[in-house]
Amino acid sequence: MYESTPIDFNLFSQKPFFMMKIIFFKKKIYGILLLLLTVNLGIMAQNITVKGKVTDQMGNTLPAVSIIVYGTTQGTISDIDGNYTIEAPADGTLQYNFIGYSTQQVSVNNRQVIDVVLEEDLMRLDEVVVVGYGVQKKKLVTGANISIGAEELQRQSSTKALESMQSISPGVNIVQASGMPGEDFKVNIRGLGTVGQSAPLYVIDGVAGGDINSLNPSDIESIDVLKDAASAAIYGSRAANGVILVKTKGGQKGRITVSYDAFYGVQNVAKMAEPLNAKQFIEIYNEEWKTSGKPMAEITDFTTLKHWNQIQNGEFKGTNWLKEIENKNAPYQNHAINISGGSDQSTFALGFSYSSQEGVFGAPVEPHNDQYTFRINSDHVILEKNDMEVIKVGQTLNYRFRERSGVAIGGMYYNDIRNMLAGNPLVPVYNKNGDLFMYDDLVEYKIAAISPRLYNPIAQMVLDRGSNETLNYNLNSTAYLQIQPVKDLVFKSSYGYRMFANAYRNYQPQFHISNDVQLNPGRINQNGGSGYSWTLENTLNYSFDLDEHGFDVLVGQSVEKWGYGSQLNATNANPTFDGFKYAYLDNTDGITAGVTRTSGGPHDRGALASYFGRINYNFNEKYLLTLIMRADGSSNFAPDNRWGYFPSVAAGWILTEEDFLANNGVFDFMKIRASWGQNGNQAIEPGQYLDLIGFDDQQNYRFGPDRSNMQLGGFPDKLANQNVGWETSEQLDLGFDAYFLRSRFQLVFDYYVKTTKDWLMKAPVADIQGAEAPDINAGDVENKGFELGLRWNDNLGGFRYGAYFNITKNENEVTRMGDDSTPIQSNPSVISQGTDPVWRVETGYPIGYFYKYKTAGIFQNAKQIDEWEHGFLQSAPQPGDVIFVDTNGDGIVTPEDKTMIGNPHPDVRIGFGINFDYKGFDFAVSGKGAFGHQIMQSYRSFADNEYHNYTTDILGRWTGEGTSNRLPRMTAGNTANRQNVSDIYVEDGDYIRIQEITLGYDFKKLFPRMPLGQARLYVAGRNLITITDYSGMDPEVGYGDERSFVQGIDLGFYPAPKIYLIGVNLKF
Amino acid sequence: MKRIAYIVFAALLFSACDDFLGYEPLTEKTSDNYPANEAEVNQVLAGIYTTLTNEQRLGDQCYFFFMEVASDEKIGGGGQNDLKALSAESFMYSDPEMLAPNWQTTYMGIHRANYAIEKIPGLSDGVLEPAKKNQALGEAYFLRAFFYHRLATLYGRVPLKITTEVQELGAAEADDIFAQIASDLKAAIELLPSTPYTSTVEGHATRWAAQAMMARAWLFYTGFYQKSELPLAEGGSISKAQVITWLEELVTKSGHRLVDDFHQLWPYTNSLTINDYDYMVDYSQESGKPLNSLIYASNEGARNPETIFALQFNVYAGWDIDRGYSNTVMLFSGLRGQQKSFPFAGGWGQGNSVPKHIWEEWEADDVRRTASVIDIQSELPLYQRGQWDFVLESNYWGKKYNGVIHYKDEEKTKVSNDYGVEMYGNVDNDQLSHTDDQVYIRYADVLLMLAELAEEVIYINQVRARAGVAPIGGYSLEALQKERRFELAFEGLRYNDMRRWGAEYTKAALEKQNGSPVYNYGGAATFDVTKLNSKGYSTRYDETKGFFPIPQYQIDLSKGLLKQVPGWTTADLFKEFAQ
Repeated sequence: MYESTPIDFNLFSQKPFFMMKIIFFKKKIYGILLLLLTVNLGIMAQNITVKGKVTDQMGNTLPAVSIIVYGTTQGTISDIDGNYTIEAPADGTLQYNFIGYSTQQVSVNNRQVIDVVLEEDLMRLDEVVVVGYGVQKKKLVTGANISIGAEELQRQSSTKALESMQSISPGVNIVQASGMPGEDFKVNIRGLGTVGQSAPLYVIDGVAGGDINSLNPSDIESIDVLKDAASAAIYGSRAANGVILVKTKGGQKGRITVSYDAFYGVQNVAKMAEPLNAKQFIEIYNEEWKTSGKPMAEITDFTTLKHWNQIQNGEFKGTNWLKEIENKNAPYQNHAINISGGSDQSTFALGFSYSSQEGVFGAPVEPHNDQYTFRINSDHVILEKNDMEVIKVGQTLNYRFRERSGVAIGGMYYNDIRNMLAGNPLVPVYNKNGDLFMYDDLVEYKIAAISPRLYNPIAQMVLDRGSNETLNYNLNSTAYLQIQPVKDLVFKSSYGYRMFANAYRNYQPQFHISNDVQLNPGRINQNGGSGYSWTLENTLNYSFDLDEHGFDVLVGQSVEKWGYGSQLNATNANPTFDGFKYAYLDNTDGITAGVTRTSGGPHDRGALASYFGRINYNFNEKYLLTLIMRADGSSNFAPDNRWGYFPSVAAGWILTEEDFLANNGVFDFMKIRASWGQNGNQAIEPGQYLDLIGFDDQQNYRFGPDRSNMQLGGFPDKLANQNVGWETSEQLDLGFDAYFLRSRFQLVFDYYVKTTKDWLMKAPVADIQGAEAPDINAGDVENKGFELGLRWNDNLGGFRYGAYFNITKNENEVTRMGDDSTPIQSNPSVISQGTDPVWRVETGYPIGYFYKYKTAGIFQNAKQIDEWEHGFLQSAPQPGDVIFVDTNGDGIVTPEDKTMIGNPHPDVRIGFGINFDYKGFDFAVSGKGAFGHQIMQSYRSFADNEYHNYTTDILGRWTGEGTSNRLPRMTAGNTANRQNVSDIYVEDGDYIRIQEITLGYDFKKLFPRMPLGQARLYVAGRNLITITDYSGMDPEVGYGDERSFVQGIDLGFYPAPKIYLIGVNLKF
Repeated sequence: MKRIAYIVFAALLFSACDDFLGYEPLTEKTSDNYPANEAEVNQVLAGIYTTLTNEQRLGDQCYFFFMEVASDEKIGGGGQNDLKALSAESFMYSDPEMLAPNWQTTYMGIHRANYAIEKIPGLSDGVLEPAKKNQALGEAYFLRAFFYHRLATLYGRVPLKITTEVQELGAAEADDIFAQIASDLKAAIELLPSTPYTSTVEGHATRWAAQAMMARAWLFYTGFYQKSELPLAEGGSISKAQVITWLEELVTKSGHRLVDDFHQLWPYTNSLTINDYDYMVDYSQESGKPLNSLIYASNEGARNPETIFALQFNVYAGWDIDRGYSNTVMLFSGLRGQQKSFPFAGGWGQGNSVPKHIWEEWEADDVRRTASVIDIQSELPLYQRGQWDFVLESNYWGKKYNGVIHYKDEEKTKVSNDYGVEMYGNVDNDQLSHTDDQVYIRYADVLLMLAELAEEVIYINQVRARAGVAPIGGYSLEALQKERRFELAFEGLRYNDMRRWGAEYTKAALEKQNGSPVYNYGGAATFDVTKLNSKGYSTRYDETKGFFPIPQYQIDLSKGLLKQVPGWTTADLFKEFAQ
């Protein structure tokens, strides 16, 4: 037997390099050299044929286990039944390798049958994880990373990788932006560091800036999240918000394996909101007017309506608009085929997937999202010498096509869910002919005479908003050349290319739904664009040991350009065909002033040039040190501010490698880590340092008599800021990894303080400057908190079980805002027409906190009002009115008393799960939760639209002493109680949600002879249980006034569905 | 190791060049070389004018609206939650940012005018012939003065920024602001040619507009601040005699004249509507003037000889800042919630309730009364009172700036949202359709200013003659005041007229609104401002001098340099409508 140190190249002599050259150019010498090398390995024994079977501890056969004759490149892999055959020296050693299992070496000893049981590797310390520009042994990692494998991702029946990450990624906040199919997630790592670009950097197969949503989870081999600054620092200028590295599946040597994974599910609304029915609405409406004591000249109780009698006798209960748009049992499906295989020279992986989802709301124009992906990855060894891949090339390519449509899910003026909640129940959906109830019907039913604000919101959804289609085409590809002239000295040059195209069509016929909701003429909008970007990077990596000192040194350089391509947008009037199918601009007629619009332009262009270096050092794999430096030059900044430098340092100490802790009986493994680093953020619009003259078709002027003849306006539209530079995020991380009880119990803890300095923002500039503010480096934000991850895995005689729990606590605070500390605030009219701004960004508070009046309940009686000494917001308060709090104690209630009434960002998030696995059965539950945050809810325009419906919550209003201490009395549009936004619109958003429950069985157990490696069938339920006090349909409200840094504003949030599904996993 | 170094070095060479990191804007230009030619100068000018449409994007937050509602000729009704109107009426504020759109867009206009004033002189004669250069510069000076006049009359003291450089400024003295206005207008008068308006392009400021504006500024400054002359920024001053000379030049040389009939000034006499408008049909019969002689002077885009300076709208209105491409005042002040009020479009009914005493004090035989005011009860039989929680609704309604519709069919059953949909191809939308000029300066105003300055009755009588009312014997300020009130009612001029005629005059006029009969939610009531604001008109006027508050956020942003307008505190926040 020889020891594991392979060939002893002297690292500091030129000899190997020299030898390589000889190998390259003098083929004849090849055999001699090979001979010389093999001499070292001793005399080769006679080969014999060895057969056997590889199984796991529970007796499951393991296919695709790599088996090599140790010390050679000879090898094979086990087949679908775990069987293998290999030629090996009779006195040789076989090495069995399989991901997730401990590597095992077995001496052949002349045996012809060797069955092997591989043990699951609970600790997996030898596993490598992806770090920037390379991989690192997990054991030696000094940063706070999360590494998620394909298996974990696919455990969830979701077509969205981010959704699958939710419960298993402490410190990564992933919140659905909307529950509508095809909508994205809001992601931030360790809290919001900015009001600008706060999403992490996605690096897909080494190329920065890709879209993780363009991948099917089955395409993904691993996702690695770099949370701390030191880990992320290698990505410098764009890493301020953390980095998510995604690696798509590559090929493996051995026979071709084919897998098919699919599920089909039906989705339904998890929790319905309950709007008032017609009778209830009329009661509440009348109460409003009667109790307000105002004359009711035109305010009758709708007796003039044509269907008044039917309403009275209960024949017409009123329209429940939300129910009307429910799309019951909306299908959700996913199919993925993966094929991989390869030889010693080449490996490949192919993947195809199709997924499709319909929305649970929006019928008859329910949203849908259909997505197809195709992937081909391959690696090829061009030249191999001495067991060393000297020249290697490879490529990755992911293509995604997506087709989707949607309804309106924006702010209060563009939100169909809200419209259904507020839709008046007195209006029918369809007229007697079965057509949508339109203006003429409103007239006939005498509804139009009441107000143009009573109308059919479904007609609006269908005709105005619902006929659209978006097509997206995305291509992500890379190619690399890798040269390894000397063992472990690797030069790699890779080129990344990304391209995208999109096309959108929208159709709106001419309609007259009510006098407030009409469109004339009809119109068609088409827009689209395409673009590409490229990256070229070169790295040189050398890892070597000097006695007990281990080094891994990386230097590299990259250049990148994005924003090539262009986009076009055009709208025209007068469709010549009816129906969305024909929604092409060719099918429109003429040019119509005020409707016909065209625009087109380039994308925001930019470039980045970078140099970086990293040294990973370890002493005896006991003391660890990582140093990183990156320099980035960005086209977003003026030449003098173009370059930013991002250093980091991280250290680790593996205590269990110390003699005094070896075999301590408590820890199997214990590593403590500390890191510090700086990252940058450069995400601003380009050209901020220039004095730009803008043109805009909304800033023209008409001279002369012709109202359609406009003079183009040109104007200094933005103040230049020569000094704008990097936003820097500085982070300190202290943490430890500990494994106990034979590594069955694993604990990871991190404490961090992340300070974003000189954040990039459009600081408000006084209007007297006369132009739009440029981005400036204005303030600081601090995020601090901790993450704790616990995991238990065990195997009791074939009963494998596990559980995990993680908890994240984060505190977000703005610590500085520009020179003058002027807060940034929302626009008015966010939650209802005519209301003041509702959120702010201000020193001393979390980003985007809710800022309004505090209340102290409801005045219950006149005595309470008489004795009240703290001022009122009402001019003449009455019992049933809201008690607004005089927070500054000056005896009157004024706008100065507005204060923080809620924080949209949870203090604490948790993720948890359990899983069992026994004799082919598997069962898993996963869940998540968030605590300590608030949601601001408003489903109606309370001030200007008395015909908006209420939810049944209003039945709990104040109607007399002791009836309510939260909802004030009904008063017609009462300005003070309702128009002054206060915490009566704010609720706690705490929730725990069981995200998925799965029960599966592998029929391979039952029919071991079937020609499949796996034949698992499973059923699962998603979002079946949500525990919350929040009154809305879904407590996970990602919407926030169309701003990335605000969330938790529920204006009629499109909820996540409840799903039942059935799925299969087949392996051939 | 040498080889490693070599590879690294080669890699470094690959990029590192600053051209790679350069950025060139592809859809914008940079100020280095802009404007570089006549076409670009025209763009710069349009960029300034368009801020006026931006300013009027929201009809209840613009200068014109506040001038109207704060005066004695309108009561700030609307919905009970239309707080801007209610607040403007009662010298309260609806919210701390009440006038933010006005403040922001006006300074945007100033910035763009500053840019023009800084850049245009540098263009060589070869690029821009001197006459055109003078015209462009003259317009820029006029506009800057126009903007500062708005600020100085709405807020009083404001920052005076006459450069494009970023400056942190506190409020300037009123004297300095008016001196700058005077200097800019003087420069405009000197730069702009003395050609008749007919040889200028509609919409552009002219020498005549500058002269009229000078008179307006002169009268306000000397009246409100009790001064005898208007100072100039460069020293010296503008005397009354100088202003009279300029106005006389306007009268003799500009080509502007009064239109023949007062009704022709207003959109409801447009050719698509007039034949179906009973009031005009009756007037035609009574006056013996054929209907076709009474058609709107701006009909079909004709040039109204009386318009000296107006805001012009277009057919491209949308929902963003381009909403200002339509005349939103005609929407916001349109008859609230009406669907059967031909020829007047339904609207939101804000700030257009005319107190009864205005109607009553008007000479009944003065045709301008019914030409300017809708007597709802008698004129609109199908009018529905109390629409949409309507408060402070009056039976008398401003006629001049209410959207106008027309019948599309013979049977008179179908209307579009504005007659301009057919006449001009306006957007057909109930909110975006109105595009009639917002006239800022018209000739009758000039005549009356001249009468006031020169104390000459002849100009008053010219105006009266056109209105068909008898001449008066001699000039008196009282007669002049009355004449201005009725000739120029609801045109946004009354409030500053009141104020320049003195605080006593103003307070007396404001107080007269109390007791006006109104309807709240359709029920009869009596207007009493103290229910909106317990202090009442006179006290609030004394406290504020009639100025309105600077948007609080702008004060917060001023690094302590800017102070709120005296008389405005957070206690002046409008709470809720109470009867």
